[in-house]
Amino acid sequence: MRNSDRSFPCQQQRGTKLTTRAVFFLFTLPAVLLYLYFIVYPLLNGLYYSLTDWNGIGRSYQFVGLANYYKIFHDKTSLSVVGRTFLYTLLLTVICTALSVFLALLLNREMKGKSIFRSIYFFPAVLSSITIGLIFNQIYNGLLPQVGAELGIGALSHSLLSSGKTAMWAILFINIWQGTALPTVIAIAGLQAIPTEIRESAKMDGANAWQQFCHVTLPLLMPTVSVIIILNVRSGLMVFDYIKATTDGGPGFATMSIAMEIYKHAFTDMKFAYSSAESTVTFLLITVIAIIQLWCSREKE
Amino acid sequence: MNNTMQLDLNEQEKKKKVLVQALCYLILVIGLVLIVFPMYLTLVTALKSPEETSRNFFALPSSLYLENFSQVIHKANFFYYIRNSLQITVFSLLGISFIVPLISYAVARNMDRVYYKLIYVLFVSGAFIPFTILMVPQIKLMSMLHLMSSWGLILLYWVYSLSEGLLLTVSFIQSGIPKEIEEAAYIDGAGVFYTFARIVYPMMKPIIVSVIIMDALWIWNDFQLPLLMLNSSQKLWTLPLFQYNFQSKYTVAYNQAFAAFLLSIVPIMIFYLLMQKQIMEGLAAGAVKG
Repeated sequence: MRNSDRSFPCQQQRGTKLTTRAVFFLFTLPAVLLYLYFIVYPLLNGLYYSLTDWNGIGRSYQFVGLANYYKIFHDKTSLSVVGRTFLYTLLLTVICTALSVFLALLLNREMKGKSIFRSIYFFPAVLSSITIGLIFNQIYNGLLPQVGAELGIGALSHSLLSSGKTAMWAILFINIWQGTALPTVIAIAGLQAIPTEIRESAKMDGANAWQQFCHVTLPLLMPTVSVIIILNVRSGLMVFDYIKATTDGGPGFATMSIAMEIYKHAFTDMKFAYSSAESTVTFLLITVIAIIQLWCSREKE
Repeated sequence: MNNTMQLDLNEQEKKKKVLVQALCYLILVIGLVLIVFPMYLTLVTALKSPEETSRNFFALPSSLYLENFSQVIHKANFFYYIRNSLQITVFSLLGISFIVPLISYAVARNMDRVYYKLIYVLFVSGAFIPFTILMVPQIKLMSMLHLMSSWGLILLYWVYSLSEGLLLTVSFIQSGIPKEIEEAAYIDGAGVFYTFARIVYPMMKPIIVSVIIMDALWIWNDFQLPLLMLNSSQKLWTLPLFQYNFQSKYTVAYNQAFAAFLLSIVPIMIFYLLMQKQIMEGLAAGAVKG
């Protein structure tokens, strides 16, 4: 209070001060109204729908309590979708994080053509994920099988996307292809923030490159790494575009992710209330993961 | 004796260094090929006839074959969807560059008041809520309000830009714009709005530009929201929706599909070549803060 009084020393009169306050309040109004009506209200609404049996269109619906939640936890497909998405997220996070830190180390060295390398390595990040997904879809479905047939590689003669065993891996590859770009730039920025003297002195003390990395660079890079991990976990848990561009969840349910499942149930299967319950469960899952992450990074500090 | 040994060691050290450098180059070049290869395939497939592609998919086109492009541009009306995307992006950004600075300034200068603190916490925690969780009730709300249109989509982009925009802009104001300048304006009798419009807003330009670049890429490239809001009416399709639907319609004619992808990549590529530094910095900063 006192602070803000001091910041407007001229406004001794009550009148001007009130207008100042009113104007500041008006400044917030458009954003706050938009936010409350289009974020907070739907969020609460979704919570409410999840306790009903509404199909999303009909006029009447009934209150069914926690029945939808009970169904989710007893539905084998739903559980396998959650399991698959978690495995996918884990692999994506581990691979992308390791790869981006590794590439950042290479791209941070003194070498010729560094800036050209950097621009090309970052380029996938500015492309639309749907364009990338569709390009790889064509490559997997059209080009690779032809190449496989010509070279006589049996494994490649069918599209990688048409088999339940390989489809998710093929999609993961697309995600890594595009998803490594942004973390790499973040990791480079993190590396550049580490004072060179620290590494020099470690070198003087006779540490080899690997020791330097493990005991000096990596610990100092940890805040950046945790940002990258959070980024990857988010994009992994919410994976949608690449699947929509390639398999649409198939063959069978082999590439159904949480986001795909919620989308399908709500907008094509008319299970509106059920998908609302799925959204709520996902929300809780993500909150738990966020708390664990926060707790882990605190612990380290 | 001692001297020559020293020299030998130096020599060895040097050799090792050259070897390490060569290895680094090798790895980076392999990565480069992996990144460029799909782009190369897009380019050459778009420039070849189906017959030539089936003869050899990897080779450069033997002659300049532009039929695919003319199909995409004339028959599929490519530029119409470019215009749709451009309209949505521009109007979204206009709104964002107005709403976000306004609230950010108010919040940054009144952090000691409960209302503003509350707004800040509420908005920032919103950055952690993924779209997947909101999409079902939100799209329902939009359709009840008869807002399943380009304007409805623009409205949602305004809404979704708030969390990250506020976070970045507030910290910029707090650390980068000294209060004394505003105080001087107040002493001269300027009102809050005048001070904001004439003094603070121009000083916020760097952060507004970063937010705009970040949001421009996101809105231009976004697929999920347009899919949910506009997919049923073809005349409203954005560029990502056009690509998606074009491919499912022409699954066999994949030379044309690649021509469509290539044409969609070109605007982004030009933007990237012009603004590379700002884009890299903006995206990285946005990710770190958000």
